[in-house]
Amino acid sequence: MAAGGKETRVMVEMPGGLLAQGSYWAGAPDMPAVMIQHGFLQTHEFHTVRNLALALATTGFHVLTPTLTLGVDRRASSLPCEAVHAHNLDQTREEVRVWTDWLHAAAGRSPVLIGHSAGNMNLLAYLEDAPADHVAHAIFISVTFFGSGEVAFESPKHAERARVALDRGEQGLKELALGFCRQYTTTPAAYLSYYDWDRPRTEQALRTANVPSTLIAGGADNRIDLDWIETIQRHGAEVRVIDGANHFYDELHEFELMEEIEQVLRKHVAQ
Amino acid sequence: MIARHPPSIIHYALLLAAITLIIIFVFGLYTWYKVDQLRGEIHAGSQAAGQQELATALERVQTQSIQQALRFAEWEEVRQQLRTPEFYGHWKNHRMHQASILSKRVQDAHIYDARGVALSGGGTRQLPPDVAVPPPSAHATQGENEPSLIIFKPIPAAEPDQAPIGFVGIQSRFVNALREGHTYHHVDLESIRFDFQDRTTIPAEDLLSHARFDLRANPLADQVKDRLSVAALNLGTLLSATTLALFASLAYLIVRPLRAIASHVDHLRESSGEIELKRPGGLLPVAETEKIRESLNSYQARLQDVHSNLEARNREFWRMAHHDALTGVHNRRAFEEQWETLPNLAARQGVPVCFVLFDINQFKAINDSYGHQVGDAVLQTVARSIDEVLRDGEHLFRLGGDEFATILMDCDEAGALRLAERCQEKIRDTDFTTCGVHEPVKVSIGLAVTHGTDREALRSLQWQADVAMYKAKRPSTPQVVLFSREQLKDTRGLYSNWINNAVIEAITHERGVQMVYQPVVSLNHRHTPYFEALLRIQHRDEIIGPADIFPLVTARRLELDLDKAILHCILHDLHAHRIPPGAGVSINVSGPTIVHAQLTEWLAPFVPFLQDRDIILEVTETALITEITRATENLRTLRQQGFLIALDDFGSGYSSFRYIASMPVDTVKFDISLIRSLETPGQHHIVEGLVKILGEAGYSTVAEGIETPELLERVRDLQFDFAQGYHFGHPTRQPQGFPPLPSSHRPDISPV
Repeated sequence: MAAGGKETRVMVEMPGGLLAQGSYWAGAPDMPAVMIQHGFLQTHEFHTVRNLALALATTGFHVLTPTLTLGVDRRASSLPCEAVHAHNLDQTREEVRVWTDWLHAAAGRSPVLIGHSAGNMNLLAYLEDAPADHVAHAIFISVTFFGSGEVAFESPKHAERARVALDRGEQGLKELALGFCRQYTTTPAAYLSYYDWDRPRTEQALRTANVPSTLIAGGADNRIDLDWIETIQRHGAEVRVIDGANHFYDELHEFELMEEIEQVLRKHVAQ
Repeated sequence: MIARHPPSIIHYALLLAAITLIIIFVFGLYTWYKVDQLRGEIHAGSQAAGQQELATALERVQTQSIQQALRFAEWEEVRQQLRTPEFYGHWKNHRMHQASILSKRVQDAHIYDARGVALSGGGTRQLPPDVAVPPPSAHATQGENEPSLIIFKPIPAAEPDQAPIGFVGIQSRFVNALREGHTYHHVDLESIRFDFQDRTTIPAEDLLSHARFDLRANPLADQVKDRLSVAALNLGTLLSATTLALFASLAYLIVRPLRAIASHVDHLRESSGEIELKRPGGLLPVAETEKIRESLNSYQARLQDVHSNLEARNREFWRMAHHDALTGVHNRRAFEEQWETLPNLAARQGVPVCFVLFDINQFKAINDSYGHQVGDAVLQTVARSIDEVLRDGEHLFRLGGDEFATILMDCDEAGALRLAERCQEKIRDTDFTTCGVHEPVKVSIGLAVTHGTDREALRSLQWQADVAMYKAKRPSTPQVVLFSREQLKDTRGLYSNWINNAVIEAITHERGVQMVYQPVVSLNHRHTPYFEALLRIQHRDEIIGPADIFPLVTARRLELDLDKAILHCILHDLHAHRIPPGAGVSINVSGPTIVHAQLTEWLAPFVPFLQDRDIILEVTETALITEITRATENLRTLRQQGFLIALDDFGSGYSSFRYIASMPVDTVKFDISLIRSLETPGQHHIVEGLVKILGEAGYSTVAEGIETPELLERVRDLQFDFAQGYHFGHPTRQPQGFPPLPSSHRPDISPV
């Protein structure tokens, strides 16, 4: 296995004209390309994402870690819950597509998409209508969903308020709860674009995704529904559970996560 | 010219105290000035420090504000709002200030697009809705309540070389920022303010010059100043009090005793008060002043002793100065002092005044014969004898040598003569053998009396007495002579000016000197007659005789000059053959000439004449005894050359055979007084004996004063060898020969 390339700051213009930043490590020619998508409101500098990227890049993979703009030009830091969130899931799905295309172009092959936490929803949304064979594999780490998740603050009441407002044609900002944000300032439409990705919608997206996928979950992750993960596994999905790992695979579980992903990728390369 | 008195010590003390107080006052003012200066320096230093503090704080606030503006411009949500400004109002009102990007001091912030137009919906207070591109630099504006600092910063594009995509503006309360977060040591932070001076904005870089502030109270500086002031005041007070105390002490310890001493000295000088300075109130407080007092008293006591001794010594000195040490009588000084008072005394009393002169006859011969001790004893005895005759209040003065005098008040001629006779009698009765003198001592007395009391008459008394004395000293005159006008004829040479001038001129210029020759005839066949050269001085038509010449010559000490003039004149006569050939000539030589070392030289021109005639040198016994050794030597030399020596005036004075025996004398000329005594019955035995003795001793004898045939007969009988006198004719200028002797007698030598 060849050593990984140097990290390159990448800035790509998104469809709305905003510039999005990311890091790219060019890998070995025969190595798969991997794009790692960060979680909700995070950036590609989030430690779980960056540590995983560095490990894969060191191994020789082509690795891309983009940061979604979330409506912020050259966003480089996580967007607080209290900020104005005018972005929606459709915009992020488009940005995933742009980055996937960019990686495909950069690495010359179909990438493996890796998502972490709520970032998996962005990948699933992209994969719903992604071109066939455009993505080689998908790895969903600690996959979660909106719409009253295990540790989320949102509730059907908030969604109802958003829907009522949307019905009323109100385009103004409202403070609603979404995910771990108790006060999430956004428009009703934007809110609902994320909120509607609840467990059923997510499970449906997993089942219908036309790329092979693997789910990795921490055995001690209290932010996901492990029972739901087992259910998915029973329905035929490849699920790998790392015992004792939390949502962010802190400490030694980071290496276990790396081993699991390497196994998945080697398997993919072997195929 | 006004006399300057040095200031009193109290003035010096006052001056010293005043100077000290002035110095203290000046020192106090200087200290006060220095304290005030220190306070000013502290204030200036604090002002500068405060200015620096404010400058530092202002720079820090501006930097913070700029950094805050930069952070704000780079804030991602700003770019978010610039891209999607639909919710800018909400974001500005609900998010911008809560995001911890802007500090609480930010009053307002605004986002402008690339054209400088503010995003809509945000509203604004101080920030303008539009700004120029590029926006103005940082500046301050005078707000309603407080000034604000407004800073515009560009929102950077993705690439550094791209134009900014917009701008942000921040308005913040910088005065509070200055007050907060800074530690001021000098600036009163509540007093920080800015003077806009009617301007609405001030560039940020000029803010410091518009800053105003008050200094914080500096308790330490004030305390130092207060303490220094109090210390200076206390020191000044202490020094002033000390100075006054020192002045008082000085006045008490030094000034008061010194003034007492000075006052005492003044009293001593004015001869008033006590001699001893008492201690005012016991011991004087200072040892030195007490020492001065003691020393002054001791000095005064010693001074008094010295004064007493001086008075005694003065009396002694006066007595010594006014008395003759030898005789004990008053001296010449005392005489002159009394003489000075005589006119007033005589005028006051209006009585006749008598002046008496005493002179011991032949005293010099006594002195030389018996010695000075005997002479002194004679002087003492004579003085004592005369003094005993004088009345109380009448003093005897020793004028010098053997001359005495006295002044008698209220004494007429008769009284004067009586006194003189008493004196003579007293001296005659005095036994001088106790003094060692066996010959009788006699005294000549000259008297002068005046009845006038005017100064001229009194002044004439002395010379009148001199004239009388001169008369009394003459041979064959009484030894007591009262002055009379007739005596002036005999002594006119002494006082006549024209005679005086003529004699002096004749002697000094040998003009008018004439020699006349009187024959000395031989009374037997053994001797050759000769001529005695006698002096005359011709002045115009007058002939001045020896009576006028010799007193003057003696008084003026002109004997040598006169003798030389006489020798020249006789030598001239010899050469002129005025003296008959073969006839001898006798020359009178004075005492000073006899003893002169050059006498033989002066007589050398006469030596050739000794071949055919005798040349006799006549000397008086008085002249011989003056310097007998020198005289003897000269005379022996002359005798060896052929000169003959004659002793003149033998018997007129204090004649002594000792002189004759010891002196080289050939001839003895008996004085006229002795020859005259032959006219008195019974008086011829002494002369006869003397002639016999001298003849047997080998001396030839000459009898002078032969004026009558009887007297000539007598001397012939007495065996005199020569006779001389008017009986043989008056002296002539050019003698023709010797006169013939009377017929009863046969001259040994026939007249020429």
